[in-house]
Amino acid sequence: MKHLIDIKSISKEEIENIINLAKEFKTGRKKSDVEKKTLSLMFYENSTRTRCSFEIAAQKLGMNIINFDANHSSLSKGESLKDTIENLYFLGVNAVVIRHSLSGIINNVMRLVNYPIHFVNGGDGTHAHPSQALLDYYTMLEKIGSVEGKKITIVGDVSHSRVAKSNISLLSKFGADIHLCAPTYLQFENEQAFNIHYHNEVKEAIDGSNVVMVLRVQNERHEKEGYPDSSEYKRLYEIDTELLKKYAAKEVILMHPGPANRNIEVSSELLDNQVGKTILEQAQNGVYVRMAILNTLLKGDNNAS
Amino acid sequence: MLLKNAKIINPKTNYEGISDIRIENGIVKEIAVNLVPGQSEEIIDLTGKILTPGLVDIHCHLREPGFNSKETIKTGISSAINGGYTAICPMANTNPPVDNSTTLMYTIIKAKEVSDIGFHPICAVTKGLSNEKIVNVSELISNGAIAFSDDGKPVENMHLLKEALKYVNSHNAVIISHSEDSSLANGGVINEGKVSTRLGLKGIPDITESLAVARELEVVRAVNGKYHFAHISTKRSIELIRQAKKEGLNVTAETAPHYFSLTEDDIVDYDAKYKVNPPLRTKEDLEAVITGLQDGTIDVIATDHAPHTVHEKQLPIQMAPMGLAGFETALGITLTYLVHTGKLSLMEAIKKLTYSPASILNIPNQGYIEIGKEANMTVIDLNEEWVVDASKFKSKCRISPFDGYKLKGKPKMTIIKGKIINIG
Repeated sequence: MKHLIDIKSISKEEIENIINLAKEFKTGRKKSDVEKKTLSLMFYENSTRTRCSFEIAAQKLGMNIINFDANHSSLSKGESLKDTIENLYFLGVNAVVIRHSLSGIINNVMRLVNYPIHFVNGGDGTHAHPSQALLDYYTMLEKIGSVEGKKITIVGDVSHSRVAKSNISLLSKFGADIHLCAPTYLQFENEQAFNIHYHNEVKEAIDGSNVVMVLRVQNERHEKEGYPDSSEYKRLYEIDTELLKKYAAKEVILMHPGPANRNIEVSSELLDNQVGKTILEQAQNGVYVRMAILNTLLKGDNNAS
Repeated sequence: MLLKNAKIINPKTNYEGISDIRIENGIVKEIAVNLVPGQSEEIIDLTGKILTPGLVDIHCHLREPGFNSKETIKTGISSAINGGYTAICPMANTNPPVDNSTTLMYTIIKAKEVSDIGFHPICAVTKGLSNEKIVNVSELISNGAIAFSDDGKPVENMHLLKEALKYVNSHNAVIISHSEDSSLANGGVINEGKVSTRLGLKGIPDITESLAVARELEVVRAVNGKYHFAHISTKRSIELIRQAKKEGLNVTAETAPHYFSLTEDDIVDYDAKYKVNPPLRTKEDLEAVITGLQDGTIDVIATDHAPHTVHEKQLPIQMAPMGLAGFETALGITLTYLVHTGKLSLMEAIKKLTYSPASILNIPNQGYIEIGKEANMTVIDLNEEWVVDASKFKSKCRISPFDGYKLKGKPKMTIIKGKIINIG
């Protein structure tokens, strides 16, 4: 494994290896194989936790980190991403984590870059967010042992969610029973794209669920043409303690990729009680999973600077 | 000059057979079996080859003036000739657009400098392609305009379309429609469907096209107009046009080779070489296009040659411009995907590449082989197998979704006013 672009291009075995390695990092049994290698974080879209998480992971691995300031880079002067990345390679950068608003931008630039730099997708448009799916999976395994046959429900802004897509892709590989719930205007344009269950009705969607994953619903979205007010969403889809207690499985775990809109997609009360703590554990696990990702991609390279 | 032993396919007369053709001073003098060569007459032996009227493309973009880094009139014509074309009708969306006689005559003079190819510009319907004011139709026709279209953009002002259609038709010319509802197309990258959902790309729904077709058909009906639909790509559009033809409306339609050979499923790795407008559709749409070609709903195969620089086509797919280089693969794709598969007879396929487009736009001296007329012809090897190599295109746009495709059937010579240009 040289790059992490999306879940669909990696095997079950590669996923399991990353999960196992993350476990070893978490328990402190594993030492870094990639000390002194250089990672560049190229974030062209706002992000707090993904960026911090990769940065901390790289620090724990003893890597050098170049925080690339996208807004003040030569990209804003019209330099292409390909040229920027090739330059970084010649400066001694071994791997780049890219977060960008355009779906597929990493697939595009990988085709053009002529040097063996490693690419990690830190979230591209509405396409994929593979490190998030891996850390979600890690958290689920920690909590419920296995996802096979388990009912996992994703609720929220499905249509714009790279998190949902990468989770669907990963959880399908491991035999989960995947359900998606959103109002019509936030559903996928085409339901045949994924072989899963679709719902408009939240009660039915979370009925007996072992995992309820809530997605962020951007307020700005509801101000555009073709969408009703966000109060419409809250009225029908806000996940709260009562709803979970009444319909979901007894030991249901609540997940959220963050940042959450309190009292829109999930109640503030639920976030602050014991059930909401899983979301913080997700963030914590993210560091170990990203250590495992970076260690896997860069291990064995002999071009360390 | 004597062309010997070719199998002639002449859709105008539905003639198919082996004959010799004598050309003198660029004019077809005789067509007969076993013509005896004159004393110093040049003989071209075309045994085993097909000889057709020269291919006629009524939909292409040559980019000059204004976008010469994408293509020029010179490179565009070389590309067309290399694809077997003896006549081309470039669209008006240059900069400035071909909405005035000066620009129109500039393009005609530029073309004359490089070739005798039939060069018949399509002028804009509205000044500045702005959907506001109708161009000076009569003046433009007198200076060489063959038809009118805002192609690249739809005419969405229905009052304007109604008036323009009546006026253009009164000068015995047609309007060519770029059928698109821009409120639905807005910002879209590829066909809206399972592929766009998986890739996270904004989709262009199929009703973007059929909605515009439906609306425009009502205008055509209201004014009893003559109207041609460009680049038809969806099943529903084809059903609407089929029904309209059945009801006697004077409409014709074209599609392009990529709509009967590629679908959204072919789009891999966010590669913008697959980005065209209309977008590559579904398998069901592709099958409907083929049915439409078979039953005559679709009259014409046009290239929609829409070149861009390699750099532009390597941009992220959301930012890359729409369009592909079509001249040099159109015949090969048509023969491979329609004729060799038995979906269309050779006669029918050639008709849609020659006689039908020439007749719809009334292009003089093109689309047929006839004694006393200009010798504009294409020599084809129906069975030659070849691999598309975009890096060898004569077009500046050396990138193509068909790069590396193995095709069967290839143009070998383009004959323009009796002058032979060999194709490698």
